[in-house]
Amino acid sequence: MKFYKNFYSLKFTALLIFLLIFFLFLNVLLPQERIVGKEKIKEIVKKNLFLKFLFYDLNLKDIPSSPLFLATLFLFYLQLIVFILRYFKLTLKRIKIKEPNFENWKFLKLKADMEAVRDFLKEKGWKEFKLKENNFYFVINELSPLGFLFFHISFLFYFLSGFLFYYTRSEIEFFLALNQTISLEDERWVSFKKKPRIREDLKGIKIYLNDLNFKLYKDQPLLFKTKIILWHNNKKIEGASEINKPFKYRDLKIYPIFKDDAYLIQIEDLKGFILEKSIIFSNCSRYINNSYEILGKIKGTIECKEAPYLNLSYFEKKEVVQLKEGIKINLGDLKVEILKKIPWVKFRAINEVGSNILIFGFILSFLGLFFRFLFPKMEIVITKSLIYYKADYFPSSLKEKILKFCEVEDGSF
Amino acid sequence: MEVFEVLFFYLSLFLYLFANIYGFFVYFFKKEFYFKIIYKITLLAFIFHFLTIIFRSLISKHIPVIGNYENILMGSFFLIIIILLFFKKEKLILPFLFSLSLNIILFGMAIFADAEKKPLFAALKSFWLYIHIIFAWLSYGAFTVAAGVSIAYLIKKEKPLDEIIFKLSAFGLVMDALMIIAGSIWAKDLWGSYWSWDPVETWSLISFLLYGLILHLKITLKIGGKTFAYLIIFSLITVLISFWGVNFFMGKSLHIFNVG
Repeated sequence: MKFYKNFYSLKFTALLIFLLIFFLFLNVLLPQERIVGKEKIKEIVKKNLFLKFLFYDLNLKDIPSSPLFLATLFLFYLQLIVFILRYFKLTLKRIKIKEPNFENWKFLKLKADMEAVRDFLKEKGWKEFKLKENNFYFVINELSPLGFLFFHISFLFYFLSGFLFYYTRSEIEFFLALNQTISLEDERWVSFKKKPRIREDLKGIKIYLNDLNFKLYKDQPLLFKTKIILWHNNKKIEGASEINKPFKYRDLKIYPIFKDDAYLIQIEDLKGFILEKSIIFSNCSRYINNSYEILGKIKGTIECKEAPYLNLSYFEKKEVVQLKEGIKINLGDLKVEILKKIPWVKFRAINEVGSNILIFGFILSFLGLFFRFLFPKMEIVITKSLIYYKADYFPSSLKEKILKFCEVEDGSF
Repeated sequence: MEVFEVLFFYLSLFLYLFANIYGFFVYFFKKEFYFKIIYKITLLAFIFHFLTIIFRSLISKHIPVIGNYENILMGSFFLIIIILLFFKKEKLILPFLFSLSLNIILFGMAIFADAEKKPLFAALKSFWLYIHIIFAWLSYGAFTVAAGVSIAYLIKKEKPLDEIIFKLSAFGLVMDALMIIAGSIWAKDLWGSYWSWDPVETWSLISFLLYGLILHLKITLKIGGKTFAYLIIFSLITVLISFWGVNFFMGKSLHIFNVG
């Protein structure tokens, strides 16, 4: 029982929130593996034993997934559930209008006629109830305590949506050159960043890049808009995918995240017979693999100097050629020609369930805080000689007017 | 037009400074005090501040929201709106002066900030950007004024000030929640995730939890006015770090839009 009381105490809530703040603080201050990478963390701990203790012994190299943070979060949620269950009944009692018990109430001496105060409050929309001995109880915003309940319940929706995101989210990245079509299952173009645990909605989807508008200012895109066509189950969907406006198809959202140039190369034999046309992606952006195999015989790697170069090897022959339109070389019994430059875009496709639950949680949080803090429950009891009052605070304009009805010595309300 | 922007900027800074120094002078030297005069000088400074923003917007062809200079210009603008609106009703001279001092520190930082004009990047062309930053400025403005009133409370220890600090912090917390919510919805459209544990995101959550914790302590454990005031002043540090610090100290943030 004592443990339960301590666990449920407000001091323990404060301690848990304080601990969460502390972990978030560490999340910003300590280099995190998901941002700087595994190698960097290894390098850091070599120099600093204390950081080694923090990163490996306490497992703080990725705070959001560290057991200490998750344990604190678990306790926080456990306490929250206990709180909601207990506070639910209490709130329902609080919003019921009943005779006040005057615990923690304050009072002022009344100099005006009580009828004038009553008229004023009624005019302002306060609800009036008659008490014993011709006293009057006034209340406004009586539903405000529900705000706290809403706010606490909203955290359960965050938890639920987080759970759904975790188990249903699939995240892939794919490269698409202008006028190219790819299948989202083709591993030549697609890399899975996070495979779904439950859903497999991406099966059978094909995508075509129809158009691209791109403008840069220094290193930042001013305009990055693509037009794509998606085929799924014999359905054709046309749309745009641009920064801040992803292409949407069911729960799938497609975001453009990077743009660079690819080169269309043509391989001919000595008689001029075209053997292959292939797209070579410049990899100077380090986003894609830098080795290619064409016709199963020609091996190519990209080298980035001041411009991208293509190193080709064909049996014993080796050639280096700059990736530039119009370049032609002979490679043994083959002719290689770079026909044209084609822009390509790296897209991220995300498929997940849980957004609606999260948005509902947002709405609950906002409504909860809004009504609890900006429309606090205010209570006043008027007797012949005194005004009793209770609230977190009273609006200044209301205070000013009520003080006019009272004998105020110290100016406090 | 740039000349006008600079002219109005310095005019408003000078008038804010004048109102503040003159206000403290007459307050501490017990001269006859005219709150209305100080208030009107601040209002005039605010008009010049507004004109600075208008000219900046005309030159850069967008609402000033890019880079430190523009953020200071707008952040301080919202802060002064809160100060003017709040103290129009509550004629509390010392809290007004301390809040104005904090605004001058913020506004004055614009002198040292990079004022390069940049076009609106694709990442910033979003309806949610404006919602996100308006609530951020309202929230940070309310927290800053709460800190200003807290300083006055620690000097004067008047009971009504305690309640004013509570009101401002509560308003700031609601705006802060809306800022995080709007930012999260925008992040989903921009990056594909509602939450990425980015340093700026994390720090804004730290601010929110900290103010939430303090208000929680005030309501439930009824902590004293002095402790409450100290905590509110201390918490302003987290707001300042959210506003500048994270980008300044930690290079890797998704929120750094103005570099490559």
